[in-house]
Amino acid sequence: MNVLQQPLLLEIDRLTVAFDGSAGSNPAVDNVSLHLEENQVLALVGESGCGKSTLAGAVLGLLPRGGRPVQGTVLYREENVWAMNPARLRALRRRHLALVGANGLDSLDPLYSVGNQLREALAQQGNRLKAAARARALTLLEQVGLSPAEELLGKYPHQLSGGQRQRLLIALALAGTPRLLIADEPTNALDVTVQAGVVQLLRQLRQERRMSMLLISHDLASVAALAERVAVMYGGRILEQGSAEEMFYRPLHPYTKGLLAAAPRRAAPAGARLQPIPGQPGERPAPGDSCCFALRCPCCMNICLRRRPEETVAGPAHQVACWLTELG
Amino acid sequence: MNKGRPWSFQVDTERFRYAGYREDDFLPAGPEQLAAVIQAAEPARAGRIAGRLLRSRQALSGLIILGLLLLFAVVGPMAIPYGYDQQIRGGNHLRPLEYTAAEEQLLAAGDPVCPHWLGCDGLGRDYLVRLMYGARISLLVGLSAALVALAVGAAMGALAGWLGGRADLILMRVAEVFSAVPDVLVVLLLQVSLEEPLRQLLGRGGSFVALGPGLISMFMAFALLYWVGMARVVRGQVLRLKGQDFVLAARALGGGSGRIIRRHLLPHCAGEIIAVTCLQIPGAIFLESFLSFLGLGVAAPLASLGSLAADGLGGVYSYPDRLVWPALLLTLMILAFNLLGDGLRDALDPRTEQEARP
Amino acid sequence: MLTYCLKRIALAILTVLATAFLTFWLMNAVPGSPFYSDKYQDPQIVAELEAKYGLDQPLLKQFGTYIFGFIQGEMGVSLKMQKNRQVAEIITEKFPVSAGVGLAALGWAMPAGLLLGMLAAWKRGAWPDGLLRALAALGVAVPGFVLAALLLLLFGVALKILPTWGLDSWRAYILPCLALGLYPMCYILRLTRAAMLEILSQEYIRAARLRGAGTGRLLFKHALRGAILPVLTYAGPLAAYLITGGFVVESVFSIPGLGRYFVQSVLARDYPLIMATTILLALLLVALILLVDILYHLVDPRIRLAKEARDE
Repeated sequence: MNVLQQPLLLEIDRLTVAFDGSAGSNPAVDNVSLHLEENQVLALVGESGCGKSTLAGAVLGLLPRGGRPVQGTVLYREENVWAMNPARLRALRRRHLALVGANGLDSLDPLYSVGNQLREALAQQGNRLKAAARARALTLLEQVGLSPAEELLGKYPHQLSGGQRQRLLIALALAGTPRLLIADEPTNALDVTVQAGVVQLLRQLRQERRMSMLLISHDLASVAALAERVAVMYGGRILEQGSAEEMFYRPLHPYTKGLLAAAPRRAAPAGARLQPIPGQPGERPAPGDSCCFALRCPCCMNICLRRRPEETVAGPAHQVACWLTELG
Repeated sequence: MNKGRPWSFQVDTERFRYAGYREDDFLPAGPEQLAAVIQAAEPARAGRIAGRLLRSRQALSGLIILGLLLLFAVVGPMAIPYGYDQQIRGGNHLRPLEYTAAEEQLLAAGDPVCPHWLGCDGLGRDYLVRLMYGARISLLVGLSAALVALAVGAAMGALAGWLGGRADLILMRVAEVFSAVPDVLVVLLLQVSLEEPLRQLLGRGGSFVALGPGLISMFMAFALLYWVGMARVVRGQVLRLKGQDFVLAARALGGGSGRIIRRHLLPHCAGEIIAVTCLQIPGAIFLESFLSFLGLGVAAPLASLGSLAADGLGGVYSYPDRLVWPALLLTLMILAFNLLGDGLRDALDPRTEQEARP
Repeated sequence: MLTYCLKRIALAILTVLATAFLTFWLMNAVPGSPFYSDKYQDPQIVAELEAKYGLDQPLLKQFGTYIFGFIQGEMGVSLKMQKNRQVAEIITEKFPVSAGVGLAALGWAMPAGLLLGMLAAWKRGAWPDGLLRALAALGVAVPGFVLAALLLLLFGVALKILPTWGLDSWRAYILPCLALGLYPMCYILRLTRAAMLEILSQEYIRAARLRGAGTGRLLFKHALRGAILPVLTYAGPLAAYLITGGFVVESVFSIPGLGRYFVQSVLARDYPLIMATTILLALLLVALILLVDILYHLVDPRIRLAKEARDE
């Protein structure tokens, strides 16, 4: 797949992540293969519970209690994240990788001030001199559009608005000048108007720093604004992935089509009904060897219930796992 | 790959047969096939609280220990022919598995004699039997005291939660004041004052009275002071449930407050109530053992584990096992209730369930 | 913040008064009089003695006079235990003894409980956690006098390495502090463990770890600060009880402290002593609860700032 001279920034190869206690047949991440180059944005789209956040955790080498990768590899610049020693992993998290969470209230320690937490993040980079750290903290705050920066240093997370907290999370993530930023539902907890601001900020930062981003979101608007490549995930598996243009204009998988159709349209006539995808994700786990979307798919065939479709190439920048494409 | 062609039923089955596909594979799945698959995939429903409780190692071990203790206390005395206050001649301070002179004669004559597994105490009473009865009394005392606290606490808590507003505020302040009064003080004062009247009542008999002023005052102290914890828990629950629809419905149907509280709200709190009660029993047993230490516990010749331990303390240099046995049983009893209570509380807490899932 | 403190102090004083009155009433509701036993059987003499000590006045009046005097340091004289000796004197003599042992016990129990609880939470599921939990469960299940007696037996008698009587040397403090502090330590261990686990499962801990924070910083800076709150709530009243003396420990180890004296005075119905000691306990209790409350505000900015916002 790699036709570039440079090594891939991130390569996830047939990764399967399972949790203790869950039935062996339904791992949270199921045989996922993705890749990301330098200075590229990959969006991971899917409904809640499809395994996106678990995947993000796997990339960072930190899974919730009881979870572990049972198969496959996660390679950052050709180094296996899960085979690293703790010191190397810590160094990786400080300098190369960063995570921006969905909910500022959850991701920030409520007991410490903004300034304190910024200083802590900066201290990991070796900025221990108080004056230097303070200056750097103020710079960071300004870079993410938070002003007046001086005042905010003394405030506590619960005193900020949702949008401010999200920008703060981004600032904290940028403290280590990462090469890869993982944004896990960055606009989830925000109002629509504030969302646009955050998306704009991410775009700007990405261009300035030539940073790669793994954007995890179910908000197609943000995806359209930021992503160059898109992967659609469901039930722990990648159903379809490709360039943004291919995915938005020439979707192949019924689920992708459903997602696009379900998104509310500004141009739709008033009174037009929304078209949801029937059923709930994870309502019934995919039994055994079958397509995980089969039970909700409008085009479900017998083979879909019997066998799992493999990922096949459907174009120069387009792969899909669906039996419909077998038909031709 | 031909992306543009519309999906059709025309399938070249010949081409696919050798690749392991079946004839009808690419036909749309009918409702029967879907139903069959759904059926096969139905996960087992998670168990109820009882199921979760049993799966908890903590609660299970508590239950087992308690079961064994109950066996010991209730069934045990049936296995040993001696009474708890039966003084055997020549058996003072008999060592374990020794026999008195009289018993040796019987053995020589071929008559069966039940051995004194743990010997006898200073007054020649079989020690094992006294331990068994002691366990019985301790269990009873613990349970009763906790039930008393439960009754008062649940009533006060339900009242405070239900009435709300100023009544709630006052009741909670009262609770605070009561909880600040030293329990030892109350118990001792009550005990000192109950001695006389009880001595008169004792003449008329009655097993409750035979427990002695120490224990009776302990029950009263429990009723007066130990209800606070239970009240807080019940109050919290009532406040939480008060606004829910089923309560509104019950009121709309004309249910009176008392009825609603009794029939609808309290059963919802049953789990929490049991957990808190379970955790208060050790407190009662502690208090009882403390009273015994003071010599104010259960009246002789009845014995509780606490009083046996206190007696054992007196002769600890010569007969240390007289302290060790009741201490061991006491500790096991308290441990069992702690484990059970904690296990119950965890089983009821919805958050601990979430932890198990990814 | 200031108004809040003042309000709380006023409420605290009210609580103390209420407790004092409750005790006063209880003592008087109990039939019998301190003068009736041993020597004075003649009802007339009893009546005279009661009049002399003001015990025939209406209850509230008695209470009022007492409180008035108490504030000025007049706590009456002991009626039974040490006849005619000033209660205030007795208390000043015995209180420091109990306080010394109590504070020493707290001094080891709290740090030990906190650290071991943190260890158990950190090593959750592994053998250190299981072992610590089992030991803590045992520790809270052993009745006080049993523990004290066993320690005495083991170290004082069998091994003969530690003194068991009085408080002459620093060595003599070891066994009483151990006996007094074991239950609190185990309880604090469990509290800390539960609180730490709750916090460690929070998202912001994960976020801090992903920013490169090491385990030490996570545990001590982030997790401990939140976990200490329930421990403080427990420690407040605990300190009050420990300082006023543990009766059992003082009895077993023959320590001339206030705890033991208090129980004896209750049995002997020495009213002034009972009242003074109870009020002292209540005062300590509310003072420490207030202190804990203030500490809560210092630790958790959400409470502090919400209060300020509301008071403005």
